[in-house]
Amino acid sequence: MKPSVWIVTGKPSSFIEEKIKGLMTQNWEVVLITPEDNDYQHLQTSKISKKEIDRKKKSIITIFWVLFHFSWFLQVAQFFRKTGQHNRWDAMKMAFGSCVLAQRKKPDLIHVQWLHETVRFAPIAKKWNIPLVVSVRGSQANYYIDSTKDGKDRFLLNAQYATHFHSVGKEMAEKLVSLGIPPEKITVIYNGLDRSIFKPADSKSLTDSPVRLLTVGNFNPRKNHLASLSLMAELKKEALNFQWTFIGEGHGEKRFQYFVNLLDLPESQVVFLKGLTPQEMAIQYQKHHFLLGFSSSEGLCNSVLEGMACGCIPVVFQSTGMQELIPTKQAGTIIPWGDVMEMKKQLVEQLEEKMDWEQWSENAIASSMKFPSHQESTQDWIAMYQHLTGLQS
Amino acid sequence: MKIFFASIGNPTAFIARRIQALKNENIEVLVDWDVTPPSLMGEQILEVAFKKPSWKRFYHLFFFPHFFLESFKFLRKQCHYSWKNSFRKALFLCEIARHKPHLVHVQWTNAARDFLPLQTLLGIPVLAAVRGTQLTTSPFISENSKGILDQILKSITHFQTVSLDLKDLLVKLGVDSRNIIQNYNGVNTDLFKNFNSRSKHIEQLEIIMVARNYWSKCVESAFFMLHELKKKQIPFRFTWVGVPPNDPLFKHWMDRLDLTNQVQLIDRLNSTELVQRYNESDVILSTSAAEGLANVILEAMATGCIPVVWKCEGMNEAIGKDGIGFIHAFGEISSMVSSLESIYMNNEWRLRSSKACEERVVQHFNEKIHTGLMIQEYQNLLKLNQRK
Repeated sequence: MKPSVWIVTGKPSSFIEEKIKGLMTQNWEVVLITPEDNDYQHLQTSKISKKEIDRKKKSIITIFWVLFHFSWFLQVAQFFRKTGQHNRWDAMKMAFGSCVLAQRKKPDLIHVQWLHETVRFAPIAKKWNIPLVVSVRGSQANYYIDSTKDGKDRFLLNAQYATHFHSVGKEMAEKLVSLGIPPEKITVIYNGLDRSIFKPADSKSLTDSPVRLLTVGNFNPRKNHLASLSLMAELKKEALNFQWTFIGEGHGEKRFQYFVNLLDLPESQVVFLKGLTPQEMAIQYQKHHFLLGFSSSEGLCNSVLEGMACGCIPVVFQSTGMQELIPTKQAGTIIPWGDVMEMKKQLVEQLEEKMDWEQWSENAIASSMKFPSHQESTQDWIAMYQHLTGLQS
Repeated sequence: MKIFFASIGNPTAFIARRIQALKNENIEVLVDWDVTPPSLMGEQILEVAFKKPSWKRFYHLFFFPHFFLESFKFLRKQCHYSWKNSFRKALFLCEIARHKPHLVHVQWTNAARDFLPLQTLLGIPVLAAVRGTQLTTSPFISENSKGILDQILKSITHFQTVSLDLKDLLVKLGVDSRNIIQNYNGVNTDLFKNFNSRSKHIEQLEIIMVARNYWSKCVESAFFMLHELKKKQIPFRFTWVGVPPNDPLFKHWMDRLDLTNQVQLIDRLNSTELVQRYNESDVILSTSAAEGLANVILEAMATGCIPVVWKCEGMNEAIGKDGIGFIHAFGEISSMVSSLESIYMNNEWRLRSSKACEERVVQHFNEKIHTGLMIQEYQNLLKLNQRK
């Protein structure tokens, strides 16, 4: 019989998609629990969206199922009431959702990709006595935990129901240990890099004018785009000949564009792109000299890794995982978080001193090579699953 | 004269003072507000608030059945409101019509189109106040707001702007400058004044910022700037009024940027407490990207605070070109830091500039003068309307 796993996903992402494909080729049966009906539509795997779960809550079958398992239903509703500060009605609705899922075939393991959903799947994992693995990727462990009112409490609440943690980097794992998670419950598996796509361009030199800067990340407060705005103003003041491309979307996109307009730069100097495929992303990394990052919430920043693999030199604010990505000084620059003027200074100095850009770029590529490929990373996932379920390949 | 002040919501102190001033001039005032401001409690002011349930104003429709029907049709077709909302708004218009105001002064630009039937069907002029975001940021970030603004620009004939910059913006958008009344809100200089002479020597620079944590205020940028100021070893204390003291996000920021000992967060202050704070401060800081004309900057200047701001609408008018404050290109941290450094280092200049700030507000932004000018504008508008 095929081993099976439920993967609870967030918004579609290429690295999760790669893992799913890898699991399927290794003969794993994957059931995806997605936010929207049409997420990961092209993957030939069983799927149930949260929207569909909501619809099925009201079906006759679910109502009968609940009648036959009424005591479990009540236990689950009570659990949600206690854990989520939900009112009675919301807790019952969530319990109905669990009942919809409980009608399905039991998997060998549930893997939740975002920590905050752990509680939602805890009753099912407990009912079937299967491992509940949770991935810790970034913002939940090093942003919301500090910057929201009950962030830490929610983190610890969810964490207590996970049987195992998947950390996307070593620094993140250390952070988890500092939060009280036992080290033996943590497995570090990097997201992995698609080396067939993210590879260096044939030729690029810093003598190419203007200096091409790139920032990748959605326009939300965690990514600190306001810092990039001040940096842009400062570079303009220095009369540096630069062109800056922003790749990302989100509710703050228009707002950020409003700010950029205020800087009164020529339209071609600041470019906004979104919805790029990995191949198109690689072309952008290859075209640009520096990848600038301002985020405060990374676990191990994929865009920095991909950029380095393409020979783009990172200049980033300190956040979790950056030391792992940029271990040597001449593969990139890590700036103390929030120090815009230091970032400007470093950039201008590097350009004025006519840094050996090609050498730095080589170093960045070499650093990226230390990280596993998608295939290697998928193998690590499977090994973790096998270890947790006691299954052998 | 009877004026209807529409869409005030929760009135700011200066709107409340405006209404009081109009009453003192024997002008009848009708208001649509959500909350009665404390200063106007017990005053004879006719409230026709929209929040009032429809059944309480249902009978008004019998006095203006045709007007009701036409307004309803307009609100449905032109403003795309739901049946229920159009019905409620049309009833509201009937009640206003019964009071026969001479003029409708809508305090919130986007709401102006709701009152258009009064202008088109009953000939009551509608004057739309343009205060800032609805002309600057909102149409840029929201297609819906842009659509509403376009509709207003086409249909409303008279506008009141709170700064010359906004007037220029309106003209650029195609409004005839003769149809724009430029009137500053003004500052209550009896309240906002310097009551302590500032010390000749200061141990640390006292910086104050008064702003909500709203996206266009770019408050995070202030923290980046303060971090740089600290690196330069300029001793300072920063007070941000407008955010809860235990706001976890900004506590986190302060912690990460090592500013915990320098920054104080304060949620809300009443006018008297704010004046006190301004009097204890040397500098008023603004990182805002969009304003009409920042009242807080003028109020702080009236107490002798020196403005250090990023350029946006109204800043040139508020601060002027006499070098009494600093207006920097939007986004620039280094220039702001240099300005703060020079204020800290140069005591004589600081005292001179502080005095000049006070004088500038008294001379150019006295609320009483601008209220008087607005009353004249109302009268001119009515005369113009009668001639038509």
